[in-house]
Amino acid sequence: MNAWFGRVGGRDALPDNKPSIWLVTDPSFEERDARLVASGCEEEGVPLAWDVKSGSSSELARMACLRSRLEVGIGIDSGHRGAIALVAVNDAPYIERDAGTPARLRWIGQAAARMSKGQPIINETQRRGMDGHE
Amino acid sequence: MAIVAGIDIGNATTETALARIEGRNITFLATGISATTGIKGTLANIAGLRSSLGMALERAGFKRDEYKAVDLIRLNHAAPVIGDVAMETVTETIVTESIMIGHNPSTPGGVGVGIGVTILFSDLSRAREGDSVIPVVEAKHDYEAVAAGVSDALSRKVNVAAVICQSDDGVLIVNRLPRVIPVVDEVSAIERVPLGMRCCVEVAAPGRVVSLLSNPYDIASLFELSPEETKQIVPVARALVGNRSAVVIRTPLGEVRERRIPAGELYILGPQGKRTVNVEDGAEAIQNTIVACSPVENIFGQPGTNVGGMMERVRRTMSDLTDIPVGDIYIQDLLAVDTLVPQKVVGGVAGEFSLESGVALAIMVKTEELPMQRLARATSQELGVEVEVGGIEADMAIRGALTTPGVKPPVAVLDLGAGSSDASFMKTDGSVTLTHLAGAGNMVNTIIASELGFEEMELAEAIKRYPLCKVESAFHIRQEDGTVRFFDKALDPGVFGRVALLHENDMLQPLMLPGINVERVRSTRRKAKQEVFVKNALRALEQVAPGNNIRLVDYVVLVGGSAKDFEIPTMITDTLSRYGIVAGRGNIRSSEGPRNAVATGLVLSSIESGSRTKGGS
Repeated sequence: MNAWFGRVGGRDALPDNKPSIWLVTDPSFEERDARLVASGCEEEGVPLAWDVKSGSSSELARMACLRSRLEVGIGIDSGHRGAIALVAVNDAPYIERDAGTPARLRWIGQAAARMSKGQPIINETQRRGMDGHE
Repeated sequence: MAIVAGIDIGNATTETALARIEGRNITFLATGISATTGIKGTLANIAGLRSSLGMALERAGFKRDEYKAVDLIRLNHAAPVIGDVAMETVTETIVTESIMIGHNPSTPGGVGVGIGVTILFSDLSRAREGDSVIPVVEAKHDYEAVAAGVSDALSRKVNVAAVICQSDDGVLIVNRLPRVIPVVDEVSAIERVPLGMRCCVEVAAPGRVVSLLSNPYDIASLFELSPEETKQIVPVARALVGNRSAVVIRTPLGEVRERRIPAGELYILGPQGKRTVNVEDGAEAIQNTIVACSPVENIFGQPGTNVGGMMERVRRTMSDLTDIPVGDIYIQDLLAVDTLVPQKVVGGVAGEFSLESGVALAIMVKTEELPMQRLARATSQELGVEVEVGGIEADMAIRGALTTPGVKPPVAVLDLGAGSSDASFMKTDGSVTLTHLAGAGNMVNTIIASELGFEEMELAEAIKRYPLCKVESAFHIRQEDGTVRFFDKALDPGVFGRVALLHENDMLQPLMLPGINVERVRSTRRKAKQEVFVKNALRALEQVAPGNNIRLVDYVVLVGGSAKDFEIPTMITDTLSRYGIVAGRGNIRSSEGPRNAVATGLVLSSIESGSRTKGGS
């Protein structure tokens, strides 16, 4: 089975050179929740590397995208505020959302993965309805 | 000296030309344009007329509501009215007992073909060694649990050939299995998938489409079908063409059939009597019958059918708007265009669509003078200005078109509007032949909306009007001609990765339509314009050309709102060049482009018609 998700420094860490999206979260963020973000990425066929740092969601997302070979990063802060940043857009996160529910965490993963592929973001209500159309 | 306003009430816009007339000298002061309010030729037009005239007055230095500064308003003569543009679906695919799932989830799982018997996922643990099964998984099951259950079954030597699931979990499930199997996900109505039936699932590799289930003979081989049964399965195979994943299930009572909806017959009355044509025979047959009945006196639809209802609706609407009895409303022209209409498959389980054949019809009702006279009287009363109904629209258009530098008779003018395509031909001696034909910009909109599967006409108008692009990154787009443009500021995430329309001022309008790409929208848009405008240009010129021979026309000037389109004039110019005709967009009075031809013509003709103008000759 391919490795789709790994924590930096952990046994399951992804190889350094693997093209992946980075997720940088507050240390209080649980692995169970990180796996929800990863499932959104994996369904789109994009691996996710996870690391923890302190900061606001936009700072964490910026940190994450600069470490990503796909130039897309996700940051989630202690208040469960989520942000997706692109290396090319350096003045602010490209997308900011509340990341308080499992559905939203998976959506954030999926949105970041689709952006790394140059595909449009699936509407959040459609994601919940699972009707599959863009 | 008199101030005269020529006002052209069109199907989409009301245009004004304001001029000062002294003897035979005409000085144009300003123009105005506004959206037409209500259906052309009805009293509802007055609001749009006020707005258009007000704009011209303001531009000429008067107050916006200083209508009394105008001595005479000249309206175009009894505008012919397009009653309706409708789409008649001729075929429909009906599935009974849910035997087909052929949709395109964004991310199906795995790859390959799997054949087995459908089984509820919760019953998978009861499957025995050697059984070939395809579990059907409801959304309540987590992907980890599904993968564990399928892996367990595989370890017990149960042949789990494929998986059908409701959630968007196809890739997640496959990534957790010991071997790759095809998984079709996002099947919304999973409860309608029949259980205990022989089933085939196919998922193609990324970038490819299903090849087995889109071929009727492969389906016949898989399900051991007789030649008669194979014939029945053809609509299924047809509906699955182009999908990345597909499922076909064979049920004892299951049936797929292609129903031909009785669209009805058209009865066309001409000088040689009545001819009948069936809408199902398609656009070409209908147009040939129209030509055979030329000049058309009236058209009826078969009572009790789609087209019969449509014709009656046109008559009733027109009658209500104009107070002319239904029996006195005559349909003088009709343009039919073959289309492919995405229709929801009746009985499908995943919102499947099938491309069905259809015929779009645009209808033109014969000119009546009475409503325009009534409109003129009402306008006169409301504005306190003398109003007269001027010349015939196509006649006025040619007078306006002759103000284009480099144009002199003999010349033909094509007035391409929203509702109708009008043509006129002026000989060297000044005599004019003219025609009004059904079908123009509005019909293009109808075809675009229908072929791309949506109903909002504003969106269709935008697709017709603006070129396409694909947003390829937060900072750049690729336009439909392949050129790349960069932006200084990051584009909105809502347009990221999407096909969008490029409006003026670089505004991007994303197209939120399922399964579309730039090429599909572009080809639909161009085909609709070709089918309506190029076909009508030839039809119209044939009717006004000397001896009905297009080759005897040397020069054609294109005017009207649709002549401003970014590609219609080039399409027509290109086609007409094959007949040795010089064609191009007009430039009315060297300043207005192709717009304002009829309004300008109304002003110009006022000195010839001896209109009663203060101080006029």
